[in-house]
Amino acid sequence: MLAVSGTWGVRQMTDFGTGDGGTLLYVSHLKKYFEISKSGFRVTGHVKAVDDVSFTLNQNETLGVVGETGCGKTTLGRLVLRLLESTDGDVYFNAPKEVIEKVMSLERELDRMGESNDGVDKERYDSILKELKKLSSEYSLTKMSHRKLKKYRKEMQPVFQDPFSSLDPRQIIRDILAEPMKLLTDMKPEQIREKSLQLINEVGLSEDHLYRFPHEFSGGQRQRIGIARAISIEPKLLVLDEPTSALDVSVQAQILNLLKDLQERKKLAFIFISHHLNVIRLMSDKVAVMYLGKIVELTDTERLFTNMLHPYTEALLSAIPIPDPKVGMSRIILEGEVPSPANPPKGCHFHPRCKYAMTNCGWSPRDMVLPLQEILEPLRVKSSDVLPTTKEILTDESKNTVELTFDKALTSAQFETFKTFISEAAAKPNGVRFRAIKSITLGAGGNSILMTMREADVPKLKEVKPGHFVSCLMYEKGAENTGIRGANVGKAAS
Amino acid sequence: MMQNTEGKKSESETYLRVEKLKTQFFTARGIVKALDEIDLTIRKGEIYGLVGESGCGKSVTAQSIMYLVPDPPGRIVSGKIYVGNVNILTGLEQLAKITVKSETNVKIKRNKRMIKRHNYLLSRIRGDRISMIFQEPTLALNPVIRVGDQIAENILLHLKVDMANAILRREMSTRKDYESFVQKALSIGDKDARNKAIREWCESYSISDAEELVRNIFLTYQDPETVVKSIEFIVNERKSGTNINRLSRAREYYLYQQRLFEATLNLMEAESGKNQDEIDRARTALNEIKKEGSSFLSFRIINKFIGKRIEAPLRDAAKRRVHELLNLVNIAEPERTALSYPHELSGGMQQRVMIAMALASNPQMLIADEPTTALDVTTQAQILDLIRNLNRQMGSSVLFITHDLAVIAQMCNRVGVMYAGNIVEEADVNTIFDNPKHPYTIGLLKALPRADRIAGKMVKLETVAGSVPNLITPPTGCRFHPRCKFKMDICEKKKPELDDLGDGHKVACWLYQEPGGSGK
Ligand SMILES: Nc1ncnc2c1ncn2[C@@H]1O[C@H](COP(=O)(O)OP(=O)(O)OP(=O)(O)O)[C@@H](O)[C@H]1O
Ligand SMILES: Nc1ncnc2c1ncn2[C@@H]1O[C@H](COP(=O)(O)OP(=O)(O)O)[C@@H](O)[C@H]1O
Ligand code: SF4
Ligand code: SF4
Ligand SMILES: [Mg+2]
Ligand SMILES: [Mg+2]
Repeated sequence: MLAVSGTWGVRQMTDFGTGDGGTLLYVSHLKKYFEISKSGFRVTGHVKAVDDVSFTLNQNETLGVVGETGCGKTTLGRLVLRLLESTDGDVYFNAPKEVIEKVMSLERELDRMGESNDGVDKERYDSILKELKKLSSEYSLTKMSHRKLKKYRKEMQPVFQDPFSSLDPRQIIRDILAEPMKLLTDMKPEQIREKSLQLINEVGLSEDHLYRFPHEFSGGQRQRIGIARAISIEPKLLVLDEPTSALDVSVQAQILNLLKDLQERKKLAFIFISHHLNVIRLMSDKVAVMYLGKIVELTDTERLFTNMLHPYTEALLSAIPIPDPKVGMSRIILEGEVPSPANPPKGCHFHPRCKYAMTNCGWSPRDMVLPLQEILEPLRVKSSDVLPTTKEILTDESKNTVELTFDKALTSAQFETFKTFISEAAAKPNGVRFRAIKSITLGAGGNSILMTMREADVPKLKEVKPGHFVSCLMYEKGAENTGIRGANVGKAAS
Repeated sequence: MMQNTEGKKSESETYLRVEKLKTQFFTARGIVKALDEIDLTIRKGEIYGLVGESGCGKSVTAQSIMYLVPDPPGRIVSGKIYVGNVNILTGLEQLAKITVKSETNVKIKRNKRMIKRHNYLLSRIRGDRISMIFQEPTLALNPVIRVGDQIAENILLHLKVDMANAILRREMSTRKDYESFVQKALSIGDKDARNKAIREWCESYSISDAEELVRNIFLTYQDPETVVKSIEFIVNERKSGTNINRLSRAREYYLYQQRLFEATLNLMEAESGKNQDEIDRARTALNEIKKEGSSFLSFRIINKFIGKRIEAPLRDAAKRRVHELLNLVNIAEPERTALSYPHELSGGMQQRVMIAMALASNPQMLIADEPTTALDVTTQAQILDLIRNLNRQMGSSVLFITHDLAVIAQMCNRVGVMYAGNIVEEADVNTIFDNPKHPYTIGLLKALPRADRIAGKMVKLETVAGSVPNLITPPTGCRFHPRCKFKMDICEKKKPELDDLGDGHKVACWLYQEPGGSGK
């Protein structure tokens, strides 16, 4: 049975012990900020590749991770395996049940303290922090010493996208398979040999394949070898990063079946990373949708595909090509591309592309420049005395203002005209960013106009329905919009 | 020409016809039999999908049609490729003589002079009639040239005459010249039709960058007087004060070059028909045009020294068209993008630039080789939409290559399924998905994970065992037989032909034909 409701909630983790054997992995507020340095010395900014990600995973369960390129999927996988040092956050893997429960309840208490308006009990606050710190230094993979880590290393293994570059071309398969067993276990050569033979059969190859080099294999066979190596030391968790993206459909089907078989037999847990949504639906029990380093929606697979709540998920799913010519696509084409994670949009990172966006979703000065130019452009020919010529559009992100300067001072009639243009634009269905303008004032000399944007709210991942976590302001009380219509993937175009 | 005139009625729809195309790679390890005499027709205005696993020969098919097979090691060995009604493989035998002594001992004697001429003609055909979008934009874009300049270069290569005409028209135009267009455009009720007229008009005046402005003017005003006045303002703003005499002279010269090219093509077309009268006529015509060349002697000398300056206005016009093209492929900031280098753009943007480049010369056919394989679903959806719209708007044919059947379902009118160098099934898209016949097609369809169906842990995919064979020693008979569940004795011995089962549903499989029957 699949445990659905609440078992892997971020903070609402209540019913332990249901599902297939309890929580294997608890990832808590995990962060990875890569430093950007232009000249090689000075740090000029950060890429928030993974930004405050939390989830849990049970034994024998698969978490699918989807999102557009660069949203942090690979980084997340590497952090969990500690192939990459995290900036902050914890990874509890295979920790005693009481420890995880304790950590969660402490974190919950902290959150409550943070949200409450009454004075915070400073003493209690500090003692919680101290206790959490102690627990995490003892049990979190991100804080553990390398020596201690070794014990956990063999219980979690990666499988990468490119089966070729992950196998040493100078070694024969027998040695490639033996390596993790040599390094991470104290098996005897005899046992290793036996185990290798068993493994190669298990992934559908035969003994003579053991004595060949990687280049003698096809992509699909190499991926089988990669999987054999990963399971050689009996791990509990596999992190599979796009394991079939480089393969043909027919071979992909073989590998996916193999993975399902292995999971069933060995009760493995998978983190299955893919941008291929057709594959995700087939493989996962639950899915985390990522956007610019954050999880924006997390729920069980069926629900995600039939009743998604986040606008990004809706757009992503509507873009899946369905292999049936009679199913038209009710496509919500996302405009533009993923913004740079080094300088993500304010508020909700998704707001510039969101068709449900509201005025509090994060509209900031930089969102205004092009649309303002668009409004002003036709004026240039219409009749040039409507407004003077625009000289510059200046933005100030910290003050949240946009300043338009003109080559002549505006008459008060012209200023009124300008305001009319803005309110006309705001009245249009897609004019939400203009509605987010809080005030428009005429500058001191009369030849500039200053617009101030309203402050942004920042969405947090919250349990909107039981077992359904969403990070979107539409699901806050009193929101301007009240959620998406709940599209279905591949429904016939009407 | 005989069979051409004869079949003209029924085949007037065909834009590309490939007959018995055989392309091979002569490598040190042996001969890769990449294409095994494939037949393919693509009709005007349709999107034809070519699908199959990697290594099946999809890209080689595209490369062959573009005549871009890397040589060495590859060569088109035999076959015909008709683009319109010109066989671009005319005289193939004269280009190189291939003597096969053994798999690894092959002598290729190339006729350098013939190859040079042939390559020149094909380079023109490529841009003028067929353009290609490659799977890897990074390989097709020059990393050290700004993308805007690369597109402009492509425009200059193919549209010099048109652009010179447009510039001359713009420079010499007065208010009077706009009146009839304004009258006409105002009378067009349908918005799309009017926008199309506006686009063409702007292009014909080399003011493509003002297209949106002109559209807005028509939206804002109904009164012809005001519209004409506004348009005059726009055109005047864009007049550049070019030396008209010199540009006219240049235009004559470009025109001469174009006629020379067309005459050479005509000769080629005639030669592919084997009608001696026609060949003679084409040859005479070509020589006539060549004679005119002497009158351009002085211009050619000038052109040699100050060609850059003469071309400057064209270059300027090309730049404007670049912006229009980038707009067309939905790039939000054309000005800035045009000034970027390829590596500064994301994968999706690069792919858009590639498409803009392919469209630069107004080709009648577009070959897209896995244009979205490297992209996210969301970007893929945008690019697919773009190609579909372009196909609809411009009525050009598209050869769409992919290994993703889902994309085929969403894009194509007709589909060819390719396996190991053969087309094994061909039908319209609904038939392929509803009623597939070839065991390979059926296998591929069943192996697809589908997000639109209930799936989950319990569901297992059906698989096609094995993988695509290497094509140096392909399986005998039906090349699919080692992987086929329905294999019969004959399958190993004899290759099944691509046979029409009716309604254009063609299958190459012994399950559907009598071994004796199709004795082709
Ligand atoms: N070593 C690094 N230094 C700096 N930035 C990095 C580094 N590794 C990754 N990034 C950045 O972090 C972000 C997330 O990258 P990641 O590789 O996790 O994306 P992804 O979701 O796996 O994408 P894809 O689908 O393309 O594999 C990207 O913006 C990437 O450029
Ligand atoms: N430059 C080349 N040299 C040698 N063999 C080639 C070359 N290009 C393609 N081939 C071979 O031709 C066959 C078809 O390749 P290709 O058309 O690229 O497949 P796909 O269907 O994946 O596009 C393959 O066996 C491939 O190895
Ligand atoms: S918070 Fe929700 S509605 Fe607002 S922009 Fe983000 S996804 Fe869209
Ligand atoms: S010809 Fe024979 S081997 Fe080939 S696909 Fe048909 S049944 Fe299978
Ligand atoms: Mg990745
Ligand atoms: Mg290819």
